[in-house]
Amino acid sequence: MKDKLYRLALRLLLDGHDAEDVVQEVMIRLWSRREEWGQWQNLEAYCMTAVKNSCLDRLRKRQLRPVGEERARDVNSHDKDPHEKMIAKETFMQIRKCMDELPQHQQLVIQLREMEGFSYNEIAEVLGISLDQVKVNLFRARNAIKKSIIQTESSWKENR
Amino acid sequence: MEREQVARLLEKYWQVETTVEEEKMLAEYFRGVDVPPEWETYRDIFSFYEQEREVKPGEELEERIMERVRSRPRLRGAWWGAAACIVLGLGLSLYQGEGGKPVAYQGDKPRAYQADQPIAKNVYKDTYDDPQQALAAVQKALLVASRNMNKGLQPLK
Amino acid sequence: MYKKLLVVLGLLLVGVVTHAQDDAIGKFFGKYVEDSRFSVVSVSPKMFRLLSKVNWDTIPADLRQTVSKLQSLRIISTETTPYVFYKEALSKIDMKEYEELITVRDKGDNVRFVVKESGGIIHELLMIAVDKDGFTMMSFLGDIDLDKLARLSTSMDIKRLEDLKNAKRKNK
Repeated sequence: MKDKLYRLALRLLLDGHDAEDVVQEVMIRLWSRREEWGQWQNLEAYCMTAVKNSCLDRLRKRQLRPVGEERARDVNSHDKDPHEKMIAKETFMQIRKCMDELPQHQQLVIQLREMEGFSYNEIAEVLGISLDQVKVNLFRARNAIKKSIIQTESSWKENR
Repeated sequence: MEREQVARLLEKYWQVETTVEEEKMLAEYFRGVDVPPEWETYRDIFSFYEQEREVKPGEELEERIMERVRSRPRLRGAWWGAAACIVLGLGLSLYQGEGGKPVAYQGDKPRAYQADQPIAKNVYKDTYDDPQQALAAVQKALLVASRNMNKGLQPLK
Repeated sequence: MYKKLLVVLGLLLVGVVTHAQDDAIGKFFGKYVEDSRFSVVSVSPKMFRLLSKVNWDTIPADLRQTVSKLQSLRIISTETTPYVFYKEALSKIDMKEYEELITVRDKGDNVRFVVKESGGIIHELLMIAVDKDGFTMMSFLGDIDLDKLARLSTSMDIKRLEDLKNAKRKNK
C-alpha cells in the first residue's frame, strides 16, 4: 500500500523526497490512530485521501513561498529521482510530458485508474468528486494523451 | 486475444466504458510482441502505465517509518485516556442492563448475571463458560495492560 | 531497562504470596462483586488450565507464551465516581507486599502498576487505572515476564501495520 501512496504523492509533488515525506507522515498518523482502524470502512481509500490532502496542502504552501525558496524539480538529485532508472524512451517522455500538463483532476484520475487499477467508486471517494466527474475526467485525459502522442509521433515521422 | 476483440475493447476504452478487467486484458495484449503497426502508439501508452506502476519509494522509507512507529507512541489525546482505553479496549461495558443488574460483556453481547444464579462470594467464579471466550478476554486484558505499560515506559516528548 | 525502572521507581519488600481472597483486588472484588455499579471479569485457574484445549492457531507465539504462564485474571470496573473508588482501591493495597512498578499520570488519567515478587519471579501484576470516565483494576496472577508483556502490544500493532502495508488490493 505504501507504494501506491508514494506514487500518488509523487504525481502531485513531482519530487521523490517530498513524496516520501508525505507517505511517512501519513503512515505515522495512521499508526497513532490505530484504535480506530476497526471503524474505518476502507483503510486504503482513507490513506490515499490523506496523502492527496497532504500533498495539496504542500502545493498550496509552495505557492505562497517566495520564488527563490521554492524547491523546484531537483534535476540534480539523481539518487532520489525515481524515474531515473526508467527507459528514457522518447514516447514515454512525451506521454509523461502530456500527463504533467493535464489539469490536476485528470492527472489524478489517470494515476488512480491506469496505474493503481482503482474502481470508479474508489476514485470518486479518494478525490472527493462524483462518479460522473471521474468518468468525464478519465475520458478527457485518455483522449488528450492519445491525441498528443499521435500528433507527436506523426510529426516525428515527418521530420525523418 | 483476437484482433477484433481488441479493436472493440479499444473503442470502449477511449469511451471510458471498459471495466477494470477489460483494461487488464488490453494491458496483457499490449505486453505481447505481436502488435500491428497502427497500434504501436497504444502499446506505448499501455507500456508507459505499466512502467509507472513499478515506481517505488526508496528502501529506507519503510525502515524510517517503522523506526518512528516503534519509538514514538502517541501519548496525547482523549482516546488514549487510561481507563477509557481499558474499558473500551476490553469491550467491557459499564452500562447497566435492565433492572440495574451488573452486566459483563462477552465479546459484543452483554450478558447479565442471571437472577436465579446465586453469585458466590468466591471471587474465582468464572465470567465465561466457554474457554474460547475466556481466552479472548485474557488477550484483550493483556493488550490493554501492555499498552498502558508502554505509556509509562516511553518518556513524554 | 525495566529492571532499572524497578530500582528507580520501585521499592522493595518482597512479600509472600498471600491467599487470593485476601489480596488487594480480592478484598475489593469481594466487596463489590455483587454491586450493580461494577462490572467484573474473572478467569479462574481452572479456566486457565482449560485454555490449553482451545484453538491456538490464530494466536501469535508471544501471546501464547504469556498466557500459558498465567493462572488467573480478575478485572473490576466502574463508571460511577471513579476517583472515589480509585482511592479506595489504592488504600486496600498493602504497600509492604507490593512493589510499585510504573505510574503514568496524564492530566486526569492515572495508571499505576504494582507487582508482587518472590524468588525473582513476579507473581502478580496489578494495574489500577482511572480517568474521568471510569476506574478499572486488573490483576494477573502467575509467572509474569514484564519485558514480554510490554512488548506484546507493540508487536501486535506492528504486525497489523505490516499486514496492511503488504495487503494486495483485490480488484473489483
